[in-house]
Amino acid sequence: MLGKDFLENKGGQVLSMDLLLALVIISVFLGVSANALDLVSSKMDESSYVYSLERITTDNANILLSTPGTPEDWEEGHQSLSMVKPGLAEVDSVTGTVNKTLSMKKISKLGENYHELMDGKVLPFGLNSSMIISPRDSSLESVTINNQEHPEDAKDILIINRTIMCDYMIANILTSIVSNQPSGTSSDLYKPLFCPHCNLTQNFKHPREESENNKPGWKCKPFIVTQNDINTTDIYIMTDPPQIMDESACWIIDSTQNISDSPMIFKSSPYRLNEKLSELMGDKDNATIWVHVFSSGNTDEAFNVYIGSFLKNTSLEKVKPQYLSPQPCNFIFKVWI
Amino acid sequence: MDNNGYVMTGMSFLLILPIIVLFMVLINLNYADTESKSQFIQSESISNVVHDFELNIPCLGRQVLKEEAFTVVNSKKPLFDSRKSTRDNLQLKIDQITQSYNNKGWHVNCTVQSISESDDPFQVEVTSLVMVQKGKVAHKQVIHQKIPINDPNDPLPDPMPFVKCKDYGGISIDSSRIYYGHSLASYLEQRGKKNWEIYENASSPLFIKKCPYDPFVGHGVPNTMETLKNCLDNGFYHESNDGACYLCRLEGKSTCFHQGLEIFILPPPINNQTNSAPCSVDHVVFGDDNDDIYPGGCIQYHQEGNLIFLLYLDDSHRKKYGLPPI
Repeated sequence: MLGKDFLENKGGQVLSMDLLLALVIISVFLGVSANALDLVSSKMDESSYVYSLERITTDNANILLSTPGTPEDWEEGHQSLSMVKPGLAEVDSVTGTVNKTLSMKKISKLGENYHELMDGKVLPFGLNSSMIISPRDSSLESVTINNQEHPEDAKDILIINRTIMCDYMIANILTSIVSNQPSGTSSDLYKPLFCPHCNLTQNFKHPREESENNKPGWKCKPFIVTQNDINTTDIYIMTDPPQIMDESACWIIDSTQNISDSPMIFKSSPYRLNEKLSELMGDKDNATIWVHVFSSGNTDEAFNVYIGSFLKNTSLEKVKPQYLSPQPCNFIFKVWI
Repeated sequence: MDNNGYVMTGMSFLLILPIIVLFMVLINLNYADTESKSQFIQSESISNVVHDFELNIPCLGRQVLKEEAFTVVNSKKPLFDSRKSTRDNLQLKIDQITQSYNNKGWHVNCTVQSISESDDPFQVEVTSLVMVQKGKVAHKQVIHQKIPINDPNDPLPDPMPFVKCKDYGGISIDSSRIYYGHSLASYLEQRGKKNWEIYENASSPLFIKKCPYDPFVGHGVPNTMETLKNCLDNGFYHESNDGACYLCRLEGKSTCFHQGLEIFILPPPINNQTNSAPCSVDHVVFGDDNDDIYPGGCIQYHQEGNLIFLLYLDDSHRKKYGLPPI
């Protein structure tokens, strides 16, 4: 129809102007459209890239934090790293379930082989990252798994910050005597243990502490120590708070075979027990040792006592009750391109 | 061009078409992203629900075992099938949690598949199947867990002696010990056992507590018996191949094929020593068959004035606990 009208039109001039005008308008439209198309498609590319980068990073960070990895004991180094998919969650050795706690052994292993374990396995090749675990308790040490500063001209930076529990795994708790009855304890059913001193007389006897009546006395608990513990770890007795207000407080370590009446005063720093325990154990492979703690029973001066085994040669600054249980930390994972 | 303006309309449409396509792609991209985010949130909340069950099952399982144990202690009637009964009661408690999730629009189903004894007699094993679905995301997981029965802060009672002595007179509980009065002596007398009167007013611990003196041969060191005395004072339970496991104890059995527990039943202190009496280990004293109750030689583990504290053990138990042979 357009062709026929166009050919049959004799006037020509006006139509040519119309057509020219129309073509100008069409050109402008086309130009604007092409520009808009280019703009939108580049925006789409960018946004889809950012979204996919965010998704990849978030998903993989979740997998890293909530799984123990493949194989579950990859940190032991039984398998070549190329076969390992890392995960940092701790596996409960008794129940076999995965805890929501990170294992420091896995974290250290990841730090030692960061790029080998991360590149192409947790993050796509070409992405850079840094990973830091920063404890909420500022007196504890931060753990830097990979410390790399992002360049100023980095195109995109993504930061994931999660609150997690981290087991420092430098220490194991052997026993603890806490001032308050543990939560969930049934007061009708909970009965403190009789210590080997309960049948003795005079200074050897250990009357029980009655904190509900503010009566001074002893709290005693057994724990098992092996020769291996003594040879491979440093065993300390420590209090929380480190500086206790109870001036009458003291402690004894003994066994049913070597009952002792020599109380020791608590110091503000942890006390190393290896020599004392070695003496009590003699040449036996393992022994049941009793720790006896005397306190005034005054609730205002209450304190907790912990006995923990720390990795050999752990510096004294790191010998703290906080390291005996998992601590809340911030997991900061930064990814950039 | 005609007066109807069709050319311009057609051209305009062609010009607008890519923009429409672009918008559609954008909307689609946005939808896919939202969908993926929503699936991620759903998946996260599903794992939280599974984790909730993982935390709840051992606590509820312990609660059920405790309720059942006290029911047996009070009624003195054993459970017919403790595994089934524990499973059913645990299922009822879990159903309440499941119901609360289902009321909130979830599709949650948690089935307790089995309750069984564990390799460690101080634990009971529970296996459950959790199925959670929300929207398009579903998760199914079999959970194997172990319930500890020796929590010192909230111990479980040993129900077996109450069932065994039901027809022989009363048993009383004082604080954390079982006092048998005349019942245990009467139980042994009716079975024709020699020196049954030794167990007149005998006692044993009420709650399950794990013995810290491991390996058990350490009980005999030093030979002045301080270790054995402390173990008996605290009423610690020991692992045993012959003694009944906790689930079988709920059924009133003293022995079973599973890895079980044993405890000493203490005769009261006396003035004069009797050299032989039924062996003071619970699975022997409460032996299911008459032949299962065998005698033991006496061991003095303490003395207060004229009062002698004795325990009667056969040679194999003496060897196990590092005590001198008969």
